[in-house]
Amino acid sequence: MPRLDCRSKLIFFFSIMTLTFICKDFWCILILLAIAFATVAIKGASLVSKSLKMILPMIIVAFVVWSLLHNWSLFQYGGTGLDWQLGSFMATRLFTILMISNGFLATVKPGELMKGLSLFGVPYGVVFITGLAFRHIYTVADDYHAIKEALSSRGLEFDKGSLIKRIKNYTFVLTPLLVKSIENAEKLVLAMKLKIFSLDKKRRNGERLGPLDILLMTTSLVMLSIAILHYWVGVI
Amino acid sequence: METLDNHGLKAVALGCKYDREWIFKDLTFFVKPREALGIVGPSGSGKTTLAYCLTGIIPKNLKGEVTGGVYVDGKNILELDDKERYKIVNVVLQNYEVQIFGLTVEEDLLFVLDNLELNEKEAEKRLELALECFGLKEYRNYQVNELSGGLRQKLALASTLLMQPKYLVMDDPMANLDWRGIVELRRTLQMLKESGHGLVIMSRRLKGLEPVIDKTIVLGQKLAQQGIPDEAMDESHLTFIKDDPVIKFENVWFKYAKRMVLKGINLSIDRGQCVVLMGPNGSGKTTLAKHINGLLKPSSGRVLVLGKDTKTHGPAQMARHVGFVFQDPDRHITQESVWDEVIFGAKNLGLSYSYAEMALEALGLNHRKNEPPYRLSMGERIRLSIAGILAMNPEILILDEPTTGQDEETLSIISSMLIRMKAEGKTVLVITHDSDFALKIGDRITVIYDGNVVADGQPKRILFDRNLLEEFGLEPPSHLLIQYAKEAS
Repeated sequence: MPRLDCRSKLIFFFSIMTLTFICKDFWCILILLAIAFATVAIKGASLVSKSLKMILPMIIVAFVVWSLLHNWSLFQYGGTGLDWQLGSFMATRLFTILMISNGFLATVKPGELMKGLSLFGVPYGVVFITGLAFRHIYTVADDYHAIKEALSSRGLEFDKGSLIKRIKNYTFVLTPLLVKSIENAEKLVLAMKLKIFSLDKKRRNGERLGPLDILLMTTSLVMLSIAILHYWVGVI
Repeated sequence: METLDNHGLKAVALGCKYDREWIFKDLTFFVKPREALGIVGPSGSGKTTLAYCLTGIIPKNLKGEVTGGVYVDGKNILELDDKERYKIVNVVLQNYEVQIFGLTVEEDLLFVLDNLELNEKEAEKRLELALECFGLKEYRNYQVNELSGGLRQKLALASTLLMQPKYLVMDDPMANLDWRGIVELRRTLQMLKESGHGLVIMSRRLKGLEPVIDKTIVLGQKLAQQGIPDEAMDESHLTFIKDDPVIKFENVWFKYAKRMVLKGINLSIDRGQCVVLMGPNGSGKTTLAKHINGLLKPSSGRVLVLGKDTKTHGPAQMARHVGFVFQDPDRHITQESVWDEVIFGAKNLGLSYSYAEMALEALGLNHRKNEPPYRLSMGERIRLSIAGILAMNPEILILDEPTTGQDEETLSIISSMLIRMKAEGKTVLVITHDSDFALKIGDRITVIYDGNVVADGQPKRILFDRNLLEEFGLEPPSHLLIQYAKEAS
């Protein structure tokens, strides 16, 4: 997976995510779950166990809710009833979606995502701004942690007291964070000017796709087409 | 007087004012290709504004009234369009984070090459050359957030140089560098000079860059005192109250992101001592200090502060005893007035405001107590952050890099305040790269290297040991540098 081209990775993840929403058979979902597990496992067993620890409580809640309250909605009461089969299916589907998302985050770097989008013809302005957002998430996160550390060193409690008090204490983080972000944004604009940035620059061509990329892309798209024809159009 | 012909970057009677207030005026100087000009001045002396004027950012992109002129190779800089101007004279900003646009090293360099609209062959050639020259080849596919601060700074410099500006202005390039970083920067500057660039380097001090600087001008206040005050050479003043240690590290290990940052630290600090923590960037100094006020908890071992195990006490609880002054004051200003900002910590802890009054007075901010904090100069904001900590009357005070970007007035106020605190029996811990400052205020220097305490003792013994300085990349005191220069000549 790490050696694959960003375009084939994007198509692969787009296909299996869409398939998870389209498929209505339990066994199909299980196969997709196995694929999702494999993509996470590429990055090591520790990531699998970390993902499971994070996801399992949600899956249990989803299973119970779908099994017991499947006749309920936000606006109406639909009587009672148990549907363990539906509960299992929906919980497995959610599990698959979350594992695919983890696999995507583990194997596709933000740079690859940007490059992929650009090569698929997404306008440069959109790709650039998205990339910039990815890049500066770390700066904002660093600032946030540093501000929180500085404030807790001045006696401000973030994890004690009533909920209202905690929320109020978190608002103190906002002022310096906002000031720093505005300051950084101003400098960023200046730095763009210094590097004679323009939105109408030429787009770079991607490298040639390897045989493995072509195989993965073809398989993904064929599977997706079959699923659409089977579940939506009803011809297969 | 030297003649300039038409070649060079020249400022003629240059002045700049914002809101009727002069930042500087009547500055005349020039720099030729293969020459480096050092511009020295404290924070707030107008270095950044001057950098903006030299590159035409003021008045072309930012507001400001400019008098006099800037000429590059005989042409008035304001007559050139942005694209042409930045290809001839460009600036590396102090905040290098905002100058990096790519998610990886290669992407960031390609961002500039794409903007220049070079053909692929030429772009590839320049990319390879930049990676090679700046030692970034092995980091080519690294995510920017995986790089150390030093490498990010190098990347910002490399990407600016891809534009091949004839003249390069650098705004405080040494701000976050340790001694080894400064030595590396010196080599880079030498390489740039040899390849024909004209350089303007702006900084609070130029220590370590002297061999490459051809001439220097001073902005604003008087120059930093280069050298050690006599009292620092006399160690008879190094007396402190000896009783049970107020801070005790017992075999402390700390792991962060799979990396062992502290490796079995054993350290005791007595009441009334001023200990200076030194060591290269990333050696674990700040991590160690954050264990004292409970911001970080040891992975194994324990830290006792005034007999309390910091594992069971959070930073807010420890704030009653330990005051921590962080590097960037703008990261903790939350209030609308100077007074509210100073009493913020005392208010959180339910303490009286009596020490707040005293802290404002001691740090020379009493006359500005009703003003908004963001209206203060950088030096004043740093003093404000210290006043906010002193208002809590902590028994232990920690200062992280208090000399970075400081003006002399603030430095001298901080030094006197630390000496007074020691006299009152308070314990002080200072993290700094500045060896002259360490000699001035320290009773003891502890050197941290790769998560270990590798040297610990009296300042003079540590900072005049040449082998030790070299082995652990510490900044030599000015006295020693003068001695090196004499020996070399």
